[in-house]
Amino acid sequence: MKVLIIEDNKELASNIKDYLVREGYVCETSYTYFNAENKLISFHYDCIILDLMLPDGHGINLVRFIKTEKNQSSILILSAKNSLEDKITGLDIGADDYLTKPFHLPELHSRLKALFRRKNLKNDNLVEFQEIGVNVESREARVNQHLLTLTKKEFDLLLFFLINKNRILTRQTIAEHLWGDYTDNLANFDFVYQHVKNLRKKISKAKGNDYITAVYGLGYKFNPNL
Amino acid sequence: MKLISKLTLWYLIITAFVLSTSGLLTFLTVQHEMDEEVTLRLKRLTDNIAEQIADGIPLSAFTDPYISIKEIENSATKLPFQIIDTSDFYFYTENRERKLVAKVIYPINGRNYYVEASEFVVDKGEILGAVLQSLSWILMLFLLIMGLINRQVSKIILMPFKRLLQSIQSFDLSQGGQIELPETKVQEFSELNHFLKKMIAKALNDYRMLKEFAENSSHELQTPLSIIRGKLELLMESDINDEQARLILPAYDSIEKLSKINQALGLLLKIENNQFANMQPIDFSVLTDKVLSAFSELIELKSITLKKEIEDYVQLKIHVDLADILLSNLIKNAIRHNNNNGKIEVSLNSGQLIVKNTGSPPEVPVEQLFQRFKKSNQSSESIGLGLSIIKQICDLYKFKVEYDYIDQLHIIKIIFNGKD
Repeated sequence: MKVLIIEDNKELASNIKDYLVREGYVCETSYTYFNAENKLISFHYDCIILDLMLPDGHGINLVRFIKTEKNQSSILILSAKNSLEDKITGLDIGADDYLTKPFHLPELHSRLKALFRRKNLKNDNLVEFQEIGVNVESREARVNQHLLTLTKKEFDLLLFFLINKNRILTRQTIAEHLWGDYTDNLANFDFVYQHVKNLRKKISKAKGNDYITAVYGLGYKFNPNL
Repeated sequence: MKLISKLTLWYLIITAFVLSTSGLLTFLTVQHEMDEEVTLRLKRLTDNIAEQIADGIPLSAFTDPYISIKEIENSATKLPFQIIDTSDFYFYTENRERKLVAKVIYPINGRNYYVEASEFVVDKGEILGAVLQSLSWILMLFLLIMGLINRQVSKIILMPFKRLLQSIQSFDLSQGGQIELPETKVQEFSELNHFLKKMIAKALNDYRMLKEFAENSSHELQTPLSIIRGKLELLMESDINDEQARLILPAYDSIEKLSKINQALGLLLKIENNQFANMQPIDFSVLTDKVLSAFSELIELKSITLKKEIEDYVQLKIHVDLADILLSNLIKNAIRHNNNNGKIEVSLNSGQLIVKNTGSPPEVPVEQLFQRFKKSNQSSESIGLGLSIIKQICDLYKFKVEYDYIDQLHIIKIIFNGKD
């Protein structure tokens, strides 16, 4: 999976790259509009992560450029501006998703995964790990072929864990993933604890392994090496 | 008190003082002149009588009732000319009137004659009355003219000042824009204009800089916050021990809080800057239901009982994002500050939205809770901007918002057409 990260801030670009490389992605970075344009002409990428504010041009124009090149890449826009107008403009001209800074890296990864799933239609609705299988399309989760009765949030949580295996997911990251814009001010993360607890209980009941562990009070981790 | 009334009052006080002083002077002068004149006449009269006696005219020839002449035996008695101020009954006015009497003894041809002559003069009181009367006429005339002048002339003279006041009143710093100050030839007013122009320009500049600073800092902080958060997330993934995790956790939590504060402040700023100008009528009832169901799990997790009375088709002219932010802040607030097994009541009709929730009593006066960073419980984890955002949105749309704590219930009431 090839990803181009267009972000003028080198540290931020390297954060994203570090995270994605560990997940097995092939990542390249561009710090300028010019450089990005060159790369886009010469190479093909499955996904483009694009910061709108570049020193030598506006990211929106790059989106237009990518679209006119009949490029099949998915586009994920990063922006420091949290405004609906920007979001709508970005999505209107062909971006596939939009993420506001500051964002969580696992969140970015989970959005990327969703983009890939949408792109590669063939049989990719299934996210599987050992005895756990999740169908993203029908929103069904099975453990040992046993259908779990999960709430919407519990399903999202399980998928989030499966996509970010062996990663520490902090309570904030989980809360923001599950509740989106509604999280701010929800300083009390008991909700996250409750959901994780319920999910673990339901998996154990279906004789699944308890992969989800708490880590140093930092958050939770889906540990595949039990 | 109006400037013109104050000026007039002072003018009147000064005029009254001047008029009464000049009245007194007039009275004294007139009185003195009259007395002197009468004295002179009486002196001439008695001298004339003495001459006639010396010419041998018999005393019986003087029949004037205001003259009396007597021959005095004692040749040693002397009496120089003198005036006595007295009063007597005056036949024509049938009143006692003031009378000046002249008395003198003349030695004529070795004999002494006592001559007395008198004359009625105008009473002091009458002079005073006449003076006062004429002065009051003057005063009245004066008042009349002053009144007319004040009404008409002051309108003309104070016109630039009034226009200046109007311009200042209609000026709103947050709306930006320039102020139109009327030109004037009056030095004081043009100085005032000049000063105001300078002051307003400075205020506008300061305001703009403050806004820019807030905007920039809110925007510029996003990227570093993203970097720090990303680095911490990557650091967590590395091979760390318990102790290192304990160091990372508070740093990570603080970054989270910082970015929440930054986002909330950015939102407040955007509302303040009127960046949510676009407003269409939306179905507030549907939105309220939507927000409540978005929070239904959180409400259940705390075992909170939700009671809602939502009237259908409540239409409000409000930006849809702000409506969403307003409602979710209200509901979030009601959940977060609630007890386990507490309750929330939401009622909405075309006039108002009321959210009631159980919770521990507020530790600061409730009206202060709308201020930024004021929290009922200072140790709480919340950032303390939720209510400010609610207030700011309500202010923008001229909704009236009230916070009460009655019967162990926190009550936030939003009245949609509240501000008369």
